[in-house]
Amino acid sequence: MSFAQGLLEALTKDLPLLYGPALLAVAATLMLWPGDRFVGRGNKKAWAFVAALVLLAAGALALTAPTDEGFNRMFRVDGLTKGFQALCVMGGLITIALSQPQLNALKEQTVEYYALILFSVCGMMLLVGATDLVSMYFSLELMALCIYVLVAYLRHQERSVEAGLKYFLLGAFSSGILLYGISLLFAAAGGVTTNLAELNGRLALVSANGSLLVYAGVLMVLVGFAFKVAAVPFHMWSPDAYEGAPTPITAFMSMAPKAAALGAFLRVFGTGFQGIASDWMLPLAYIAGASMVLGNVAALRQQSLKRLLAYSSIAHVGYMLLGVMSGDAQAGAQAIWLYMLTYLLMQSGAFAILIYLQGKGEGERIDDFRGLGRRQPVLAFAMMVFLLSLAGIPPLVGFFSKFILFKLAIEQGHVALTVLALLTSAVAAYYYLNVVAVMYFKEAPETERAPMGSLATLVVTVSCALILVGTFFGFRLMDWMGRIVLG
Amino acid sequence: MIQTGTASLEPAMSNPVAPFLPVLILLLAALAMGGFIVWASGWLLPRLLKPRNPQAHKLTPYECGVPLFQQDARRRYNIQFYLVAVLFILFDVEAAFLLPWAVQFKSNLASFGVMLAFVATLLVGYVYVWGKGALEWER
Amino acid sequence: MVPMNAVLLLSFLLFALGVAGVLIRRNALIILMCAELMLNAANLNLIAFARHSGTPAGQAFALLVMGLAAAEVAIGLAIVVALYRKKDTVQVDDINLLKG
Repeated sequence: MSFAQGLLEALTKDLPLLYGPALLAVAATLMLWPGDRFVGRGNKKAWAFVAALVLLAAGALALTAPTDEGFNRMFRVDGLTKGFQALCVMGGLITIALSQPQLNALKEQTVEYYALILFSVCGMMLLVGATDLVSMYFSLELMALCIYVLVAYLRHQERSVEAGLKYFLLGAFSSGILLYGISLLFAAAGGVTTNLAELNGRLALVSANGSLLVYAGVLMVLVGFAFKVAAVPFHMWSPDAYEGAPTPITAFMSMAPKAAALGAFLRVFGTGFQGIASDWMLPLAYIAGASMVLGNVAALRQQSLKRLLAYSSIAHVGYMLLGVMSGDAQAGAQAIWLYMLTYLLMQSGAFAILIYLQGKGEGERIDDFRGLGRRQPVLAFAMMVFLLSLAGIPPLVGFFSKFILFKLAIEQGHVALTVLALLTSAVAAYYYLNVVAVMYFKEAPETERAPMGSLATLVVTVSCALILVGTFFGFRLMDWMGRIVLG
Repeated sequence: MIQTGTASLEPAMSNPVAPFLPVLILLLAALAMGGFIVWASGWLLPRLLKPRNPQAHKLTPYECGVPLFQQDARRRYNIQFYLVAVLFILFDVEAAFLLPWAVQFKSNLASFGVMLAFVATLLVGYVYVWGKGALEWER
Repeated sequence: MVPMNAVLLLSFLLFALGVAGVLIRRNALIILMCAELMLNAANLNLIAFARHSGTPAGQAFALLVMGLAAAEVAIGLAIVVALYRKKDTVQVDDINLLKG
């Protein structure tokens, strides 16, 4: 077959797999030039709508993509890909909606902001479908590089730039470790392939004789991924980056890249490296357990809600890693997907309210929530729903997603870790309930009410409504959704 | 010493990795040795051997007595240098992709088209940078 | 013929240098350079073992990594310059607004 024929076949057969991410990349490039140069000179705000429309279109294209493998077995579209791609697109959309008040107030509306969000979502969409270490590494970096810039986006604010630098240095460090791990695995497998499935077979043979090279490689890849999802002990960057970043970007970082990195985690460890599971299972168990304990304990003493949500997201990652460890990849993927979906709803709602209060000049401190129950009862109720759901209090949807995950972990024999997860969940309930108590039982001086932006209201309403719907229909709905999407 | 020549650039054997095991042990030994040498030569030996005769003059850059006429030897460069340097790195390294392509090129329209698409992408980036005014030295 | 063990040894030394540099040095620019050193250690492995096995995949991987490293440096330098304009320092010890 000649090169021309091969190219033609790739374009007709493989490209449809990538219509979604490709649209994002092309649209973002065109937005930068010639879009911004010739069309959108006056009104930068309009780019938010363009970006949102592009994201919606890319999401639709990704969900209707054919289920197949392509590009020399580098990219694969299946239920896992589609499910997590949808989460990433949702995260991007919510971020664009939440960004409006702050960007308008600071007069920082630029086309680059939206282009960077689109590029990073493009990276995430590629990442969850990557079945080869090469495509996985580069999509991971595409996602991360864009987020470094977004964290440092408010370059006139010292905090933002500092957070950006910290995140960047640790991110570059972790990507170096990840790449070195990949190169060791490549070497151990004889230097012929980077495809996950092939690599798994070869490494399983090598590893049967107890190879230090495989062990070191897998551990380094694990460390690289743990950095990306901010699991203990590789979480140091996350509270600082979360606090210093512009708050909408904090919301973004706690939703979309986490979903994408966990999708890749599932792909690489849950289904990829099954043959050498004995090499990484125990370290992963320690990472998961440490994340649960340290994330929740550190969240206890936070005064800032932004930091509290950062530490608690470390703990949530710890819970989700239980799903990666399950031997049943399909069930693990479903449990993590459902957990991530509900987490995304709760987190976006909580951040919408946080951003609204910040816009009013009240900081992000928990004390600023004093008396919110009296001042703005509807908002306080919504916040309560989000926080209780995050805590996993029984009737709410957060409980169901936790229950499904923990049940799976018990079935797979991770009893001790599940008990630890339950205990730390109780700790988590304390600090979430503490915020609720501050809202309802502490008095605060009356301040004037500022209207909430329509987009933020929309985000809060939709996520609150979805959480309540999920609460009433509970298991059946979630089970159905998990099977439909990840099928 | 541990043998390091057990595996060479010959086709992989049934288990290509087993010979590397001693190497990793060697690595650890090397690291420990290196660490010891650095510690001993940089901290331990000077502490044992150096004469103790502190004087203020010893802290000046030129001990022979030439006085400093400028305290800070660093000069500030125009920030434009950084911008141009960064842009240079980016476009320079992208050009590295052209070389393997050129070596393999056999007047094939399809592969020419692929490279054209790649260069067009670079061009959009270049035009964007230009449009932003990053290439203008005086602003 | 260069034995593969020697390659592994060299790449590990490069990698260890990079890690040590990131952990010890306090200058953001040097930390960045050391992180790049880690990428190059991996590149060395990729190229050597691709050559060893006679397949080109690893070499292409290394080439792409070089492009990525350039992008990473560009972004890192931009952030460092932005910080330098705010704080007049590139020492990471002076970055202390946010308490980890």
